[in-house]
Amino acid sequence: MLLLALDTTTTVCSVALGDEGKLWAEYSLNISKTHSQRLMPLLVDLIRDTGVDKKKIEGIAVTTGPGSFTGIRIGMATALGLSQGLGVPVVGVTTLDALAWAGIFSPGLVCPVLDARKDQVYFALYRGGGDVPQEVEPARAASLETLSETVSRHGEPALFLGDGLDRFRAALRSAAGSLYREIPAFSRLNRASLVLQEGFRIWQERGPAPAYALNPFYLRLSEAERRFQEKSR
Amino acid sequence: MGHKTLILGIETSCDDTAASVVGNGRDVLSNVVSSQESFHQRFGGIVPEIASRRHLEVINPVIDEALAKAGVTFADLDGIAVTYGPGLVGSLLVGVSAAKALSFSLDLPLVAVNHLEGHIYANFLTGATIAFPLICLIVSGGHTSLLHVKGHGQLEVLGRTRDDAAGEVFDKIARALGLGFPGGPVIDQLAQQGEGEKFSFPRALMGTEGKLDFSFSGVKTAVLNRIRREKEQGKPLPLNDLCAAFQDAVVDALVEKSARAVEYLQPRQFLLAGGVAANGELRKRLRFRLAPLEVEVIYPPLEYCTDNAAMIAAAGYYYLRQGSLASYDLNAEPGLDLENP
Ligand SMILES: [Zn+2]
Repeated sequence: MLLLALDTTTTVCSVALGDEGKLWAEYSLNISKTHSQRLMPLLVDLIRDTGVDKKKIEGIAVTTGPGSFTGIRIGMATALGLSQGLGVPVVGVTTLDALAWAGIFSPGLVCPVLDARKDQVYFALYRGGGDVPQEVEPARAASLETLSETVSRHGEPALFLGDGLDRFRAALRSAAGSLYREIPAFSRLNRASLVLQEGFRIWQERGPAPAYALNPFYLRLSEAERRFQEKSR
Repeated sequence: MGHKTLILGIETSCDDTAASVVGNGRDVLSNVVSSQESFHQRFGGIVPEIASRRHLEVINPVIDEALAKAGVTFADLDGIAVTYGPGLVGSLLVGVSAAKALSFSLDLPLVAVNHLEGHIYANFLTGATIAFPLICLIVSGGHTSLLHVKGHGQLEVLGRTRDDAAGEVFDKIARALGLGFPGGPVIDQLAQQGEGEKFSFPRALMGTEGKLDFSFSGVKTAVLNRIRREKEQGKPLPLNDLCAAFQDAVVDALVEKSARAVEYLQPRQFLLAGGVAANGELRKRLRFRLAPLEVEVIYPPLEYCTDNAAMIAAAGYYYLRQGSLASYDLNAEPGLDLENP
């Protein structure tokens, strides 16, 4: 099954095309330029360079968050537009579930961390070493203290990765102490091939989302909603 | 001529998600607008993040509905036109991303349309024959500009507001009077039962020859002060008279500057565009004042005055004919202006 994957939820803009057993191509940019300007040209190049007829694409996998709200929408609006135009289904993948695949070879804890602004991170905990990453702690938006408490509670080394390291490496290292491990730069960030991998898994497990029923995984209310809820409390 | 050129228009610049199919830049086959008004009411105004979230939820069904209502499929289309600015950046990005993805997957040419220019093209949906050069007055919640339009995509700004947009002032006064949002239609309605002579508000015509700029902050402040003083007296507000006097002041300025532009450039046609183009008093007074100047005054049908995608598709048709296509690195331009379309 030929699947196209997109990810624009973090600083990386990435597209990939693959069958279940084969990654045909993956183009990624981590240059903090507007994803809106980069995504479609990357995709056009990917299709042209692989020589694949786009009408042969059978589905789209896209990250639904957490991450930058705008980034989530650029990726999802593009994926849904492709789905509508090509007449193929979409499968939604969370950014953290996709990232966890980069730590699949580690038998210990794997902790993807994304910069959530406002001195917070999006994170979740997984266990690697099996066929698929096993979720140990669900995704949440939280402070670094909450993250370090969660990791310490498990009392075993954790492998950190994700763009949250760019800003919080020092703090994470001191918070996790001797339990801190880090995935090297070549495999630390979001890539669409990870989205492809998780997309295939979800597709096989429960099938794609019904048409247009793909929900963004913002994980956080908009500022206006948050203030409104506080006031009405 | 058998086949009509069919353009799918997509518009998400503010809080309405809209899609439309238009034939030959004139014939509206469908015009779907999904309003978000109820989502923003509890916050007392449009919240950009919430508008963007809502656009993403409804854009694909809105496009499907536009195709279904037009009785066409993607295979019948000849191009896709999308608003890329000005507007709320998060809102624009949803439409731009969707349009690029559709254009790529369907191998359809993509056209990027300036929202303000789109408003001008609402006049092409009237059935009237539009001939350049002409003068156009765009009046909306975000803009008030007098334009000299010399051809498709050839615009010269003759005058613009130096402070508030006319529509914005209508909204602010409506809020101060407790009339809700948007303010234009309610004020227009109440003013019809009032007497504008009961109050006198400044016109801000700014005498200098050739200067066609507008200013509405003076009127706004005067009306707000008046409302405050009336409230202090503890009597019920003379709503109708206040609305009539305020509307008179704004409409006077718009009409007078328009007349000066017409006298100066002597075009054959004068177009009205934008949300405030729906205002009955403005339509009436413009026609009356411009009649002796031998200029044909054209208004868009009411449903095409407010934001819609039919006007975007209409503008897109002419761009497509000119071969002005957008590339896939098209970005949203929230601050896009009219000077360099
Ligand atoms: Zn508008």
